[in-house]
Amino acid sequence: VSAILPLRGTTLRERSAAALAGDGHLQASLRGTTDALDGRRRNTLAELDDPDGLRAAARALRTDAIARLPELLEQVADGVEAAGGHVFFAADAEEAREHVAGLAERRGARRIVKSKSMVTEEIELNPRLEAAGIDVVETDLGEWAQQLDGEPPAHILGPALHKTKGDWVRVLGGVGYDGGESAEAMTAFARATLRERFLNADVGITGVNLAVAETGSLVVVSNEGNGRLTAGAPPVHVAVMGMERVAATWAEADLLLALLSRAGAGVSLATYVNCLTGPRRPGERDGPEELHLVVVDNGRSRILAGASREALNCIRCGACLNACPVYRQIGGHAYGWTYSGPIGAVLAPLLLDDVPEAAELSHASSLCGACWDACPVGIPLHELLLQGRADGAARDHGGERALWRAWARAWSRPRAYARTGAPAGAPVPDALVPPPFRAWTAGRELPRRSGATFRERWRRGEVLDP
Amino acid sequence: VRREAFLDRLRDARAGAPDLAGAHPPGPPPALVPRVAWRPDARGLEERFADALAGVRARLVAADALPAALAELEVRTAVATTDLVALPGGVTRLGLERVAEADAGVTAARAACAATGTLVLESSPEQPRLVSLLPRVHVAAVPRSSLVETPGDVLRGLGRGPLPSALTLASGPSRSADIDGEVVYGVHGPLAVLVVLVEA
Repeated sequence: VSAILPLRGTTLRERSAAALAGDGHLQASLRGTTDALDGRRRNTLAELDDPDGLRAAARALRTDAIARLPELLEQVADGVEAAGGHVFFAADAEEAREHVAGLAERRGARRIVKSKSMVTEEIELNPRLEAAGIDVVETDLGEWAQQLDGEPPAHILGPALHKTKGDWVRVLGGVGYDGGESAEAMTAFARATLRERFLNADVGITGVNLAVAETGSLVVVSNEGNGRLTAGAPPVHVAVMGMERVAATWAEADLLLALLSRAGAGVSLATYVNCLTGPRRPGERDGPEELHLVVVDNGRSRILAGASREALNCIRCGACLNACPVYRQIGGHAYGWTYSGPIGAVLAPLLLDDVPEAAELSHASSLCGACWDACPVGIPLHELLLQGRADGAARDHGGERALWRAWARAWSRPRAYARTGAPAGAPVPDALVPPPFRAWTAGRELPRRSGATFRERWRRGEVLDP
Repeated sequence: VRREAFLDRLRDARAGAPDLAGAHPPGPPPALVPRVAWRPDARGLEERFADALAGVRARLVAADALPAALAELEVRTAVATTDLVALPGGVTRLGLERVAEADAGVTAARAACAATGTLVLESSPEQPRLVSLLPRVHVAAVPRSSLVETPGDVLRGLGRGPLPSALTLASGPSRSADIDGEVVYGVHGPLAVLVVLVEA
């Protein structure tokens, strides 16, 4: 049976093996879902006049927004406050968690509804709220199933894509469902069960897809409608946002939403694009009385200062996951962390600088560039993965570096180079390969030369006509 | 103080950042953000709107066909924030405080986008946001003159303000593909969306 191992204390190989153990459903379902999403992404991009031009513009605009991040965040905060909301800047996960927990406590909150938000997973908000005795319910269908099953999300967009209908029946059965394997019956059950939670919640917590600086508005995208309900039904709305999710203008927001919708769910526009400017106004019958925006750094300013700054351009659509040959084989849980796929492999070593196991994720890539090709804002993810490897190597003072140095020195000398090429004739048996290299040959064949080397042929005068 | 410390840390980080001119340097930002334009389409806006609505599983219905459509969806009660469409005789109108139990919510849209079948819904004291969200069926009255081509035609104008506390672009009934990749409608929001074009 497949299992989810934590990042700390495990290797990628161990986590992949654990995730893939089982009946092969994970592989089949990953293939089906990621193919479908990638196909819809292409189809919906094709309806546009100049998708490549839009993508190039989006990349330049995102880069510019990140370069102006302090000014834009200031504008967002002023706008939110002018509209009657509150803004809290959290330097790290703990500050963010404590602030949200403090808000809940001050309101005497017992029940909280959440719509899907990766940044709240990143800062591990739910355990903190639950420790305070608060009942926290995830309301995105897939995320709810993951919560009921005690598992983290497996994909930025499709948190439960690895679950079979049988898994769903089992998980929902735990909260009273007995309607069989029909997706419609399960959805109706979830609607009825969660509807009551929405209407009785004290606080609603959402993520933020974009904060639009020019009006201080928060854009929250959802397809199921849980984003609208979470932000609109309870008396308090807490929106938690990674600090990089800022658009300067609504024109920019329009472009990013068009690309996000297509790259994410493969639709022309997400079903609900909810644009929130401040809390409920005088005379309004619904909407939150209080709106709180929590802007989270949690290591992002380190990225801003480094060579991988473009990783902050990410709008979290998940398209690079669907395109990645590594993600498609091992799934999200094998990465061992909130963010998986190529973007997760780029972010992990940068954001988790105190977790040595994170560095290995830079190698969870074939550097084929499919992620770059799929990225709606053109982030050169393959180059950032290489940068991650370079960063990792710069931290490494051990034997590997000495080994590569010695090799480089040897091959800069003609005679040594000539002697160490691939041997002709019979293959070297694996048993003769010394231990550190045996791990490499375990899955590969050593190269074999057929015939003479170039140098030998040169000496014999076979290369050039006399 | 906290805000200043946070932003100062960002300014310091930015000042110390290396030049980003890698193998694929991003170009300078365009002077004007390009419009998200669809491929040229010779059809009229109303025809495109009807097709796009069908594409997201919503339905454009003529005003005189609305009673039959509501009957088919077994709508017996409704809350309404507009009189642009008349409720048929068999449907009981409830007060807005009973929105959670109504079968249908009837609202006006400020505008609609033909290319995507999108309704632009605004909150106000007269138009609570939950009317288009809680009931099983959402009936939206769209003034013919408010039909535009793309979401950008609405979004790009929002910077001029003022904005309502909630402005929602809604494209079709609520949907999910979380259960084994199967697309299902009516998750947390409406199960069916009926759109009526009106003269206003």
